[in-house]
Amino acid sequence: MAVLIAKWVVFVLVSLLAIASSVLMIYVKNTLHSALFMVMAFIASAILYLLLGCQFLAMLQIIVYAGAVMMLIIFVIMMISLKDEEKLARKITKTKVAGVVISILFMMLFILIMGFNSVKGKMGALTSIGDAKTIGSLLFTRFLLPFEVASVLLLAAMVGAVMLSKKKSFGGEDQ
Amino acid sequence: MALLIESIVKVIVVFGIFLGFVAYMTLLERKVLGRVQVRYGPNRVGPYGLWQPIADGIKAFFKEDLIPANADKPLFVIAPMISVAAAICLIGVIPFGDKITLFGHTIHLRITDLDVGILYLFATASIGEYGVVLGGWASGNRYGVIGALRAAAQMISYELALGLSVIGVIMISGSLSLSAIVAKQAHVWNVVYQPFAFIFYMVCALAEINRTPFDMPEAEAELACGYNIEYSSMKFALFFMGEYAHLIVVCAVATTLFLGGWQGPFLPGFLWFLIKTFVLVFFCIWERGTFPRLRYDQIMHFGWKILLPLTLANIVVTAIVMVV
Repeated sequence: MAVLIAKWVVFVLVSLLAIASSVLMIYVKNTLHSALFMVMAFIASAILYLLLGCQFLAMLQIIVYAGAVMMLIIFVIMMISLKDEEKLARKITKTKVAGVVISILFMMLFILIMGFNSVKGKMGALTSIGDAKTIGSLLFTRFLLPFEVASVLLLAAMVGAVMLSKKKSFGGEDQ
Repeated sequence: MALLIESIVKVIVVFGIFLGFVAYMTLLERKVLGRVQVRYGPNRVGPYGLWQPIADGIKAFFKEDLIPANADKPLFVIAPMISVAAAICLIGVIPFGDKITLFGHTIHLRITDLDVGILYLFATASIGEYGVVLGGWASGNRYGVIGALRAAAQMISYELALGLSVIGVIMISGSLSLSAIVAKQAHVWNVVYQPFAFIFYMVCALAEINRTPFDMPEAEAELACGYNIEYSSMKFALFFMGEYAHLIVVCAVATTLFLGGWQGPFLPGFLWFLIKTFVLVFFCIWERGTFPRLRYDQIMHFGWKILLPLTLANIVVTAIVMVV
């Protein structure tokens, strides 16, 4: 019982943190601060994974998203220092129409989600997807073909990225 | 309830001892480096300079705490905290001894044993990197920004090779839990099966903690201390503590993964663990006195064009040997 209450308290606090940092990510003017709030949102969602018993997913979420991806984004932000861009403050037209349409769509989605009943039953081998062994064995048996296709696609994207960045610095010092 | 109390006591004891080691690590480094460079090192405060870390701490505490006018104040304050907190959190999953019996309780000498212990180490270390990067950027100083950029690029590059270098060990042990990996090494240490992975790990780890010969983010000669250029007093001390704590943890992880952890004959487990970790820590100090700093492009070339293919080859060879 005490554990359940503790879990519930952590869930509420962390989800509030996730929502707050997501909102702040959009509203903060400073680009780097915005990126850091995104890191916070990622970490909060990793904690939510932990609450669901998905240790493996939680750790990967932090390593891949909060660690590697956001570090690259922050690296780029620091390198090109967007100070001049901030002053420009580009105007996007028809924001009010877009805002109304998006909020109506979101409300519909919200109502639909609230209407669903949660699935009842025990956690099986497939639902406890947080386990490294389960994920590994599934990837190499049942989902082998999609896994291989995805890896080839990622490799192609990587080679493409290298080619694109190589062309720009052609003739100059390659970094 | 007993479990909760046990955990809290363990955390406090380990935290205290670990911070003590971190403090005396600074003295050890200055002493050994002094000997390497044919001088005495600190010897004024107390016998053999033994109270030097305490004097340093008091000095750092009472110095004026400056925040530059064009600094990003919140980030400037938070950055050293991130650095030191992440480094200390790393010690939480490392098993430093066998179970002992105390007052009728069986106590495992580790704070916790996660199923994904190795991934936890990488995740926490990657959060710790933000400390250095944000610290340099938030200073509002060009040297600081260049240091931060270098730190970010170097850590991303070497994190990859670091992760790949331990995969061989994971393959042999068949587990991500550090306790299981230590248990597997009861007879033969992993360094026997994975000698090259051990070397790769130590090289990547030195780069990961920004230590000579990879200390580009704080190269004094060109960047005037880089990311921590604007830091003074306790904030600087926190960065310093984070760096040394990370160094000790990296050596402790190497001990756990490659040198059999606390396993060893005659002596109790935690003593073996301390001895092995100390040998690696000593190596880190020794190589600082030996190697000159590499150039930045050399570091990048070495990381991407030599270390990464070699660690990948190590994984392939390990897999082939395991299957055949």
